[in-house]
Amino acid sequence: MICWSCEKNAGDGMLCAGCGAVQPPDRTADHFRVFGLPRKFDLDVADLERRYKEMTKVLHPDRFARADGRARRASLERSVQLNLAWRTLSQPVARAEYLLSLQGVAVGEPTGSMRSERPDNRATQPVDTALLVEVMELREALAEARARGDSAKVATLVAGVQVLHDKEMAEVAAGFAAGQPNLAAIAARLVAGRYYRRFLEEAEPHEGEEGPAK
Amino acid sequence: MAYSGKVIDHYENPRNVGSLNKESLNVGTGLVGAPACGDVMKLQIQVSETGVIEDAKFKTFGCGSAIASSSLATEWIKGMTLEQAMSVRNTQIVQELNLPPVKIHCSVLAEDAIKSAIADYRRKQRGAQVQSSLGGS
Repeated sequence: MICWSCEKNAGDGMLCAGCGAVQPPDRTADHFRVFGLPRKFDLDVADLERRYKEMTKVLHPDRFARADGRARRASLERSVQLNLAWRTLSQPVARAEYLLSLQGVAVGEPTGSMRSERPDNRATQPVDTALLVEVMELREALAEARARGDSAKVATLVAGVQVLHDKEMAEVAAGFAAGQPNLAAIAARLVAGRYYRRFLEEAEPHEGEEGPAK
Repeated sequence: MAYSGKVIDHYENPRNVGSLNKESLNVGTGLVGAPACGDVMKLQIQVSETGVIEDAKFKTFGCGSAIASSSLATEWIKGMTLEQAMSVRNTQIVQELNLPPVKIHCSVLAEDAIKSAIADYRRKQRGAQVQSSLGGS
């Protein structure tokens, strides 16, 4: 890359190797490359955070308050790219879904389209029936426990689903660690994890405050 | 999220919430889910000997639009023949409830639930016929 400021080879860092001017980001870079990391699920989040903080410091707006317009824009674009990469990679679920998406696998992507527009005439990606049966039973049990005001039962259900969720996420990690990851199997685990998280979200905020129906 | 008046009405006063006996031969159960949002929807139909849906119930754990879509679906298919119910399209639900584009998949889920309940009913009936033709009285 040729530096926009000194017109010499800038190298491939955020700043020009020669004059130190901030370089516009490479828009084709994936979130891993933004941090100079290889594409893999198992990453050291503490190391990622160190990299993120260092890069954030370099790109801090205060440093560009009086800079050239091109430098300001480049630093801003870099910051946007960096923050998106950080938000995605620092969360295991988002990281896993992102890794799959890089390989063309969408995890339960919302169809958002009319049936007629879909070539396969399928409205929704199929979800494992056993999972749906289990989730339906769990949600019914939660609703009943709440209707009774049985907060001990709610707590038991929440603890149980948390275990199920963590188990799915451990399987996701194990799936990526395999020599030839089975992407479809990992996607199915992520869908299950999403169902369990929805249960937990539903259970937590209203816990104990659910009275009899009006 | 700005819901339309009809969505809010179905959400606050859902029609036909509940369960039918899923073991019963004349009851079909459809269980579908939207992996994108973690919604789960159960829709059941009770079919008369003349092939008319005489009762329909649903249970949906999901957003307001998913609840409204399944509530509306049960209201519509009551009194329909299975063929008529098969031809209910998600686009009709979208129009009736005035669903925004991001909530269209909720209507799709309701259509899938109807079809899945009918398929389950037909599977049971075929199974019963095989049973009786084998002489199992």
